[in-house]
Amino acid sequence: MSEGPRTEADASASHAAGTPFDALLLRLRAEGAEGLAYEALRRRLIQFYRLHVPAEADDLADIALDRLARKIHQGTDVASVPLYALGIARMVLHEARARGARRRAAEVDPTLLPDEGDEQEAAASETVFAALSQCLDAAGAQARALILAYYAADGAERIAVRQRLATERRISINALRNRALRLRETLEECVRTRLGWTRP
Amino acid sequence: MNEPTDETLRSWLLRRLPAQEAEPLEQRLLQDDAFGERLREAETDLLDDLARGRLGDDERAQAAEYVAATPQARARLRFAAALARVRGQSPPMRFADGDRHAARRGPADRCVRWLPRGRPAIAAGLFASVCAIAIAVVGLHWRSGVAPGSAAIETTVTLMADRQRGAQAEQVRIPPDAVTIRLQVEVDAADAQARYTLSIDDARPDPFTARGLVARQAGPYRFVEVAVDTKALADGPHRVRVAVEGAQTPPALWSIETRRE
Repeated sequence: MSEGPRTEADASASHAAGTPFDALLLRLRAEGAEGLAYEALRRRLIQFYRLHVPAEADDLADIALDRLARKIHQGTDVASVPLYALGIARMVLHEARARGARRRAAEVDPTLLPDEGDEQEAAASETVFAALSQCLDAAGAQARALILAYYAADGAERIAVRQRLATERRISINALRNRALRLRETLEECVRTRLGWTRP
Repeated sequence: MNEPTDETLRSWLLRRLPAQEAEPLEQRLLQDDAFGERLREAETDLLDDLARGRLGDDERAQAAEYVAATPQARARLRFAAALARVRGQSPPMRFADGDRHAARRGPADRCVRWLPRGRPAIAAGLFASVCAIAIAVVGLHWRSGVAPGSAAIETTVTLMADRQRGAQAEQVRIPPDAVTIRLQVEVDAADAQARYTLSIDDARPDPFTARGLVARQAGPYRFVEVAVDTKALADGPHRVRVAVEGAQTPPALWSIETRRE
């Protein structure tokens, strides 16, 4: 991470940005539409924290973004926003770990798992299943076929199946992956909406 | 940097990757959207495998820890379990070896649980019918495959070989809005080329017969399957017969009693 003196451009940018958040958006504008870039960066940070302290992923991502925004607003020379953000994210993670022994214990608490023998859990699973069935019906035959085929296989077969699906559709495996992920997210959102779950 | 394998990504998710290997991946995660998508997919696949009972003990414990951490992940696991159930890939259940809850739950409930702790999944690689088959080990049940109220309700009835010609007819509940049911009947191991005829002797208004059926294999079970209009299974007793075509062996027979409810 580089943290040098303010450049003329930085000073100009931070002067134009009223708040740290504005400054971050201005800085991200160089990487495309700032709203999308901000969301993408936040999503990556959440993914990063999920790997370490999933219970606090969203909160820590916001803390890291807030610090990043303030640094940029102060005129810190940030050569690469993603790499600078990673540096901050690691620092925030370190701090969270230092204070988080009690919280980490909660993370591994097996009682937080769905209990397979619990009748309420069984009833909940019935509800989710019904909601998903309705969402699949609403999504249409093509979407249903894709989601069921894409997520059907296990292990090594998984790669082969997905490659075959991509070949059949004459698109790249990356394009197919994006399509399947978006579709799955849409279905998850549909189920959440039907069941009134809080959005992640 | 070499493209990490799916296995590497899974190890990373399960916190098994050494720090020196994880660091460049973290860097890439922050810089590369497409890589973030790959990681998202690896996470999704992990949840699917967990929901289907396809993980070994160690991986299952680590994945369960990962899932337990947040309500979001638990919600995604529920979704994965429901998706597995749509595909008939739910893990087999424990009721057959003394599950104290089994008697109080409906048969469909037994198909829906995830995280089969304490018992390894015995049906890795089984396809759509495994859940119904696992259920039917203790008898004969139905399960709904589509949301209640849907016109496309799909119900599976499974007849196991060891339940033939019992002293009492097996009770079969058919959902009132079911239009067709999927009838699966276990058959003995035989020549792979064997063809079967399945008939319902007293189906109304006409006898039901399906010929030229090919047996399918699901783990230890071999069965034939037909779709039957529920009109053919009006409330009351029926006899289901399965015979190997061209063979001299006597047909297998089941007595069932249907009831719409």
